[in-house]
Amino acid sequence: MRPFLSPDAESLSKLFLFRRVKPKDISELCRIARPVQFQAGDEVFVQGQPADCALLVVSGRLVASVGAGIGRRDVGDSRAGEIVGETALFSKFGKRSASVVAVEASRCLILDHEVLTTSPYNGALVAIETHLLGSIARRIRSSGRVIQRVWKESGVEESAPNPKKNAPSLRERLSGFFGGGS
Amino acid sequence: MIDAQQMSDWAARLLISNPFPGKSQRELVEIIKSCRIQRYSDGQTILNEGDPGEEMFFLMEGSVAVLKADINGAQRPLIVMEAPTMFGHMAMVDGSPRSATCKAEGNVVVAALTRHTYQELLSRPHPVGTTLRRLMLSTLTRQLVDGNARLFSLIGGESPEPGEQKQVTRTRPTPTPKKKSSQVRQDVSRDDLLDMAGILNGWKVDTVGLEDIEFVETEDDRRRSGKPSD
Repeated sequence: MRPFLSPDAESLSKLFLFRRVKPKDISELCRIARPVQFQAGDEVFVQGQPADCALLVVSGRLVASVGAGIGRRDVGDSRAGEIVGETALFSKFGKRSASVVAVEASRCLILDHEVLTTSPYNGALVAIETHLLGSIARRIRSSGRVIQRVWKESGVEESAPNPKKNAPSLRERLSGFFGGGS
Repeated sequence: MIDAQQMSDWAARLLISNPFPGKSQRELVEIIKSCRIQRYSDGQTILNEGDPGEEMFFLMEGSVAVLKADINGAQRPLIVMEAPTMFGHMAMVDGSPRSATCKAEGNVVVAALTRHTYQELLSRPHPVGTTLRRLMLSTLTRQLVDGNARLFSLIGGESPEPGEQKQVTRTRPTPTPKKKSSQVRQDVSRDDLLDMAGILNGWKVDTVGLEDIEFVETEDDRRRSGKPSD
């Protein structure tokens, strides 16, 4: 017989992220991770503020944006089953690298050090951590590809017989990719 | 041969530079025991840029020079890593080819973890699997956070990360002059790009100040170490 699941556990059990996780592990995660709700337009995280937790989106949608200097650009949105602010889980004294706003009424579970240490071998947490390995690696690779591209372009221009005098600087190129620039 | 005490000491030092919630010296030693110990002498190549990566390495003893080919194919020194640290782990996570070449500087001992063992350990919901997952997450997070901090300092924004507050690196700097990352500059040099690529790829890791970080012991840690529960 299928065990009784809370509404949050029921929602999470339908997600791809938890497809191989036992219902009892999902229920345990919902028991140890506190829920939080946001209305559309609510500020969830502010770039530069201290970071001590991540959020697992149970329902709704959150949008992240990054600013540097005077510019700001959206860098992605997160829906049910996605994790926001994950670097806070494995980096103490960190600060938010992006601002996050709820664009719909959203419900999330708070993932923090206490959750990680209360039930470290919970199958739902194993699924979350395995997912995070891939997503953090993708973020690293994405930044790396931009740097490599700027590096190669500048190398080609430097070695060209007649370098362009009005070519954008390396700083301008980086700013163009990552947002901002003062 | 590396004896149990040496492994334990090494694991303790690695956990200082790579802390994570529920960190466990004992489980890290178990991971090392499932590795193959390899020895290299001065100048020997451990891995080549562009090659597929089938192993990750824990640097147990000695120093390893990291070199990256420039656009003309010439190898440029990026950094010298010193034990204890880990390298070659990005290939385990996303199957990407080696992003740099690593050569032994003097005598080197590494513990090589194969992809097969890595994947087997990683998926386990038990202490060794959790230690490996969180060690990897802690290391990758630091690469990302420090890389972002460097990037934001270069493009003139306020750094959102704490990386630039640290002043000394445990890795030995290359001959390239070290620049202050907190300084907002008019432009970015190609050396800056190489530096940032090194941080993102995990070759340049700043570990100073991490000794102060304390994570909460798990109930399981307490039980297995024989300490009374709260």
